[in-house]
Amino acid sequence: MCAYYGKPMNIDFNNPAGLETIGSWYSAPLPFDAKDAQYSLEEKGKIATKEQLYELCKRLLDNALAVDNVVFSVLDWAQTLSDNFSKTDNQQDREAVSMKPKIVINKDFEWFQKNYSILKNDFPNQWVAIVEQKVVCHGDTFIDVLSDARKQGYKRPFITKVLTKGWGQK
Amino acid sequence: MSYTFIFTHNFFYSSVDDDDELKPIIPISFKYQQYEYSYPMLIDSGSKVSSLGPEHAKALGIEDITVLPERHGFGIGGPTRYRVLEGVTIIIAEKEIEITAPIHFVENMQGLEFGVLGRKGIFNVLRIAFREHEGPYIFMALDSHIA
Repeated sequence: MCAYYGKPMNIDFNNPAGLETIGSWYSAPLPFDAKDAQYSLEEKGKIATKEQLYELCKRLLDNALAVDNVVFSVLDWAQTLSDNFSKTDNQQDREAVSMKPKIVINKDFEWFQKNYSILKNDFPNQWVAIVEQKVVCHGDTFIDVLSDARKQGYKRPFITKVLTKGWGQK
Repeated sequence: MSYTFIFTHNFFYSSVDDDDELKPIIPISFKYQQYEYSYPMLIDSGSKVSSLGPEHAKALGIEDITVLPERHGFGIGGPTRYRVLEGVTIIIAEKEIEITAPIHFVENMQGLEFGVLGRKGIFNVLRIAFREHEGPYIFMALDSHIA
């Protein structure tokens, strides 16, 4: 089973329809040569063999490292692929599927850290809810801010406190 | 699976202290039933379980915290009381890792601006290392065959 943006999908790698589904995942604009992969899918209509799919998978893995959100689907895909792959494949091929270390950045947390000096002035010692790199609500208690954010329709807000003395210091 | 498939993640330390002290704090998302939110968590291998202040029970939909079983323990701050909620989904690294683990709502942590990511359910499926010789990174690896 693969997941893409949290949506589980069952993919049969021997079924061209499944491969077309993968192709549609990568129809979204991506800042790397997944476009090439997409082109390959479009050009060939389908991936005829597991080996071709494996090559495509390796290319995506190599290039997906800098892209948030996409990596999980690729990893899961690669894992499923490796499960399906022939046991006679050599170790070198298998190692090619393994991941290089990837820096994972939560954009809201990063934004909070980068703008901490400004936030300290605007919301001193207040709790804030951050969604998509902006403060959507603030207040004196954690639960009030979370409730307010939920009322505004934010499903998973990042809640934190803007301390003026630093974290863990009272 | 015939071999171990490992993927790794690096996290930046938090560095918002006035004294530039780096803490291994990362944003973690919690999900229980339909309730979700993200919160800063200190990675702490010395802590038996993951802990939050008691106000977080309400954040996860537990209106009356007294319905949860009460336990007593002893931490760095001395003796403490806590309530246990089992089966909380802990989401790490932008949905790449999802683990189900218990959460302790600890009385002494009321109002604390971060929680503690402890061992139970976390350190037994994740390899976590601090690689300060390489930079302010936290290294995490999940063995998919374990998860």
